[in-house]
Amino acid sequence: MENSTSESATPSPGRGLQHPVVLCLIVAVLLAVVGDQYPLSPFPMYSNIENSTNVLFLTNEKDEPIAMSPYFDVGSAQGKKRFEDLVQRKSKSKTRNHLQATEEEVATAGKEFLEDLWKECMKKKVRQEKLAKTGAKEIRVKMRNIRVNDDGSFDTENVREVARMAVNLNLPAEP
Amino acid sequence: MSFLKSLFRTRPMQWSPLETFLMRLLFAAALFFFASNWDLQQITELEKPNGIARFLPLKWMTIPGVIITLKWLTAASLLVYVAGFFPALSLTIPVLAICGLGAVRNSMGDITHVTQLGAMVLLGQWIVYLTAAIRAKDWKKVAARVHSTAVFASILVIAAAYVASGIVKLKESKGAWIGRVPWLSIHVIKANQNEYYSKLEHKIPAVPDFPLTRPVPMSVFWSDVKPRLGKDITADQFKAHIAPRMIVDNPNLARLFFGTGLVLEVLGFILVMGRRHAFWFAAALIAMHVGISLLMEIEFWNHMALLGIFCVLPGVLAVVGFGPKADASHAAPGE
Repeated sequence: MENSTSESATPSPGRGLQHPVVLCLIVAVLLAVVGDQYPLSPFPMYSNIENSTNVLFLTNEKDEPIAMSPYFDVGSAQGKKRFEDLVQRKSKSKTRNHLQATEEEVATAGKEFLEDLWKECMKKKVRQEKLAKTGAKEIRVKMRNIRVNDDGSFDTENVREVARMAVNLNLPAEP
Repeated sequence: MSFLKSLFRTRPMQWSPLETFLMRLLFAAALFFFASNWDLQQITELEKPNGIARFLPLKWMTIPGVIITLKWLTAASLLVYVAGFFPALSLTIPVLAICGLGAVRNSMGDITHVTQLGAMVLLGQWIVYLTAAIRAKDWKKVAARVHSTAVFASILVIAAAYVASGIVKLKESKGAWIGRVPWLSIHVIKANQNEYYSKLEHKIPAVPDFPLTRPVPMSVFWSDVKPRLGKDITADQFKAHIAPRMIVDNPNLARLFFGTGLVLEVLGFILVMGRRHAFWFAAALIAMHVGISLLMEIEFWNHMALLGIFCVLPGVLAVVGFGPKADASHAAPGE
């Protein structure tokens, strides 16, 4: 089981820079400074809480929601991050928030986002077949803004369409 | 005063060969099954190279034939590592495969935080074994104390990750994180909506007499909500439709709940102060993760698993008499 050459020794806690707590704090500061650079991460989720956030979702031409994971291999939260990343790359002001980017920048990011989703769907026939069964003729990308106001009330019905694409999934019938 | 001094005194940490073996076994399993990206699709371009993908060409790793080869080479290497043989070498392939594929995954335009802690612990252990092998000029035999040092490095990395997370929260919010906790209410709503729109499964029906516009102070919770929990109000309905309201309407209680989590993160260094400290502090962190997953659908299985393997397991083993023989005064509870 073990290929040991000696019994466990009891390492004494070092002093100064070798003290375990000091070492831990040094590594922590390094992680915080370096940021998200895989495999390193300071786990910054929810580090800057704001009073407004967005949810990305897809609908068909009748504005009925379409599931994301089964057809496009990406969930709502991941999809939003990818869309915001595209907005940031297209935006002159480098904002990730679609509400702060121009109409044109959001439209370009939305179009590219839908193209990426479509490429992902086309990678596997099973995804195309599943999507075809929904009968969707169009895919629309929507962003719902959720806000908590100063009086404690919520705004949850502010929905914006950021892109749409016609789809044709007339798959040949199985022999 | 002497009680406080003893509470904050850093104690030497050591683990028996049986403990380090079990930790390697469970860590290898956690890495292989939960901290890896074996299902990555082949990609033609890295949208936004991240981490080591900025310096190393890694696209080739996602070629289907390559990824399956890496998967089984990693499995074989991890078995050798579990057995305790030349870990400086046997961990090399897992480090390359897990860190490489993780970097590719996070270069696709969005960053997830599922696998980093496992990858960082793996990297920390590899550095320990590599350094020991170079110093001893022996790549085959490993002293038991080196295995202990590898475990200590793992706990150090886990602890530092929590402290870093706390530091980033304080820095990004300019110290106002706890004050802004009531705004987390919209993130609870968002988390539930994300879950729904991803698969369109489990639409959580609204509670007719508790629309999001109806305030829920604690008095209303005790009189109108709690008696109905598990009856005509399900746990999911509570999370999706009532909890956000309660966070806003009971801001100081919410600050206490979430603020405790921030305090635990900032004090993460307690994990390296001794086995007993590590056991109890890890248990508190796991409780924090369970609380967050119950409320926000955000699950940190990897974090909980690693805390369990490196901090809680030794305490349990000590209770049943498998802790280190020497220096029993520094062992986990029960020994």
